[in-house]
Amino acid sequence: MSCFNANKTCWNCPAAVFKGNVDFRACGQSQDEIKAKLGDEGQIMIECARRPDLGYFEPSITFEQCPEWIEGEYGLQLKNMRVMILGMDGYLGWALALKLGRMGFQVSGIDNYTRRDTVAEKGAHTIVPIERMTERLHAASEIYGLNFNYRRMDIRERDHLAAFLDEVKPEAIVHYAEIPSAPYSMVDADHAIEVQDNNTLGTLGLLWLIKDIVPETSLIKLGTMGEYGAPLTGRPLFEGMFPADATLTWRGREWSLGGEITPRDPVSFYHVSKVQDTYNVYESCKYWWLRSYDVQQGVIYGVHTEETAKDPRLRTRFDIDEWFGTVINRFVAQAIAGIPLTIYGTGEQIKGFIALEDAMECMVRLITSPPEPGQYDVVNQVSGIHKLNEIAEIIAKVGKKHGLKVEIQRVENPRVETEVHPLEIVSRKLPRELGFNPTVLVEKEIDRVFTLLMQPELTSRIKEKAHTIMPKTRWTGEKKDSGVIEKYKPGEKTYGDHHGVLDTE
Amino acid sequence: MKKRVIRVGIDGASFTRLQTMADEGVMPFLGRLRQAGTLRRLMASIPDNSAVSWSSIMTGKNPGEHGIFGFTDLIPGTYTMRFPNFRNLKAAPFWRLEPEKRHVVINLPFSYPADGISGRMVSGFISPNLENAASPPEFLEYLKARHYRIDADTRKIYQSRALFYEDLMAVHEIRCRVYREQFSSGDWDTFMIVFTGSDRIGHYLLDAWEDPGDPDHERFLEYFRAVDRELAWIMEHAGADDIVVMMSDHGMERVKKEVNLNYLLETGGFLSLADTGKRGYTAIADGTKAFVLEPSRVHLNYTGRYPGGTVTAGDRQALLEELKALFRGLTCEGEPVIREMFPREELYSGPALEEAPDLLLVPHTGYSLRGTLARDELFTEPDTLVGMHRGDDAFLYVHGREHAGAVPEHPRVEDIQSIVEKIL
Ligand SMILES: NC(=O)c1ccc[n+]([C@@H]2O[C@H](COP(=O)([O-])OP(=O)(O)OC[C@H]3O[C@@H](n4cnc5c(N)ncnc54)[C@H](O)[C@@H]3O)[C@@H](O)[C@H]2O)c1
Repeated sequence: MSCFNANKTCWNCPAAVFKGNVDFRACGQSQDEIKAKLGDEGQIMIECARRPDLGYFEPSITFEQCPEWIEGEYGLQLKNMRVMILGMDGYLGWALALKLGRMGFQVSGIDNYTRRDTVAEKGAHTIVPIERMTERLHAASEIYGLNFNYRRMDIRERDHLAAFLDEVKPEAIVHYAEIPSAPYSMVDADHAIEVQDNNTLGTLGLLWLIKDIVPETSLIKLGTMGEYGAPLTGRPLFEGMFPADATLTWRGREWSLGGEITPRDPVSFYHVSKVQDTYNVYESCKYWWLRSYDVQQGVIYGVHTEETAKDPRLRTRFDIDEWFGTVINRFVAQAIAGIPLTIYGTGEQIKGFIALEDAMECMVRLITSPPEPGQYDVVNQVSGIHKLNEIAEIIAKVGKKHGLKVEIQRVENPRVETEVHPLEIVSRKLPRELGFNPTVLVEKEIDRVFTLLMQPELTSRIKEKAHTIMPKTRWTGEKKDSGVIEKYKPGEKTYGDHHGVLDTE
Repeated sequence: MKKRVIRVGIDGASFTRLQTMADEGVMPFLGRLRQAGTLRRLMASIPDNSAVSWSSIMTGKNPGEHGIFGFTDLIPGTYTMRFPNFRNLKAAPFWRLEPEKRHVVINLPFSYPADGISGRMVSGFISPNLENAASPPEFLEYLKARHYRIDADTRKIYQSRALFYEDLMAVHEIRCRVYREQFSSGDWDTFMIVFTGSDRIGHYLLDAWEDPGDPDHERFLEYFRAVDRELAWIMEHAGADDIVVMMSDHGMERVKKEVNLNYLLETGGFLSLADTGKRGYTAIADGTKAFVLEPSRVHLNYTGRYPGGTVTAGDRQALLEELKALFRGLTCEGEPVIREMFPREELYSGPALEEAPDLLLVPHTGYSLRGTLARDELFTEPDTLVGMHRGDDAFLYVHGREHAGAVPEHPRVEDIQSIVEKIL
């Protein structure tokens, strides 16, 4: 059985350097920036950066045929593929660096520690203690023999980043380096501006650098499911673009929507920054033939990957405060701290989720299956969907197994969002085209989080920062406590009977 | 005084048409020049492809020795199409034969990437970029400063002929400025300049040449008038003792029909393609016995050489006979299409023979033989490309009547180098 990326060809491979477009019937050549086929007769020429001895050729060697693509854990992978992780010190960045490193990728990365700084600014801390980067690198080398090429750098320092890109010539770039918090972007004008400057302008500058220095690289850019919002019509959330058979009818007339970007309805200034990124990436693929996956990622939860669990010095961060904690991670900490789980509003909001370990597998699959030049592709990276109140019930149940008595509270919603809505998420590409099958059950990962956080030192780290848990940042810009609407015990309440749909077929 | 050598190429210029233009006053200088030397019809390489012919011209060798059989071949062990370039040339070009001399080579097709040369060179088509087409680095800087371009943008033809022509002339003018400066520098022992707009204009505007009422007729003439002026300039500035040789790599004639040879093989049961959506060589499926590479190179699908090979050395003779019968029987509206067929041994000799196509086809007038796999019909009407190469109508001019004896009665492209050597 050949694997999911076996039939991809040089045209997908970042080692293939575009050399021109020949219409050899007229022994002619056209301007070399045209990477589209010139009709029937046009022939694209590439040179392989890894096999220059082949000369110039058409990009048709399959990954399976190419000796540079070798068997890996999830399919074929490019030998010693150079992957640069922007935001390598973060929750996801660090876990991915270790995983890629262990799988034989050549990992480089940058970070400016803004995450550490902003968390400190808010008086919070990561519950799972993390080492300083120098110590992390040392541990990675000691335990796994890994040698990461890491620099402290802000993605917006374009001169420095240009030099680093030129030195490394990454074949894939994973772009995590953004400020990932909705509440943080709603604190006040300064914070909103900081988030959009960091995220949107940082990404825009990066795109220009890629164009000039590594135009063949595959950019894996992180978006979020929050870009789409939750349309009240229940219209499916397609993977970025409408499918070929989607139509719009109006006053008896009908149009195809196939291939158009679907509407976005972001839910905070942070999410707006991601939507702006989406358009900037989309346009640069169009103007400059860059290639990118825009990963609309669900809410990540959990602590476990094989590598981060290997040694305390390799652990990745884990935040639970109102700004940087994501919902499942927060709930588990609340359960341990004896704080009733804080459901915002009705708790009927439906979200897409994916466990850390599964998300990392998806990233590897995306890295090893690059889009074609000029292709802007979107994947919805979600392995399950849940209502917040159901999530609270699950956590209470798992907490009980750990001997905890967990309560649930509904608090005034600090956000402006629809609280009761349909939701249908389409996530076909990862399971159907990229060979991904989620392996981490929600209960299992939640259980692992409990086990880790219930170590006494970690429990005391939660308690120390318990005051950062209750939401105070309102979307109005006010700073105000959210009043408690009701408190109840798990299993006591019946919830609305609408449910989300995850469409993977 | 030492004897210098000047080589002037006019890509795709046909012997017959040059004569007509000389007779009719479009190329008055050429009209006078032919009195002062030997003008002959020249046989292009088979196939009559620029890469092959220019490789023969610059090395004086046949394809069995220099190893270039077309703009494309397949990467050994795969069906992936490759574009051989100068690095794949297996014989030495003239400037390597005389490394002690200074050579200037401008716009020689199929010399990309540029060779480290004693002197200066800039390659002609196909050169994906100027950076690797020029040598030495100072010469690259010089070319950049003059906004030198290797070729006109052929994409423009799909927008308008006028736009394309304008671009073609712009490229021609810059090229002329550069070669004249280089020529005048006197810093060379051999000088080569190739005009290539002639090939482009032949492919795209040949119908306008044939029809004086065509709005582009004047454009066609104007280009050749411009070339004639350059010939005059060169001869005016050449020294009396200089050896001057002019040539084209093939002739040019109107396309009557494009003939899709792979379709013939497919319907004849020799070729089968998998239904992968991409109709390229990589779709070649089990059971395939032969396929054609552009333009008219028939390859047998050998075991050991190709991933899906089925043909063994023992099958070769019988299979070639079957294929010849198929091609011999090919007619279009009652006319035969194929004029001649050559097993490779009849055309080529040398160490690269094994890589050569097994059978080479030469068409009757107007049948443009095609190796595309994208077509699912046998004959296609010509579209934008109205002109096609013709092998037996290239030209050779050797200046100086006293050198007539050095020119064979029926010269071929690979003879040019030895003609020069003989005169020297
Ligand atoms: N964690 C989630 O649930 C989730 C969900 C959807 C999308 N995402 C997206 O995934 C990405 C990574 O998320 P995370 O949870 O790992 O967040 P994180 O904050 O832990 O990681 C981001 C890293 O990037 C760094 N960074 C930020 N701006 C930078 C800059 N200008 N220059 C250099 N480094 C910079 C930060 O210091 C941090 O280490 C983010 O883009 C986020 O928006 C995360």
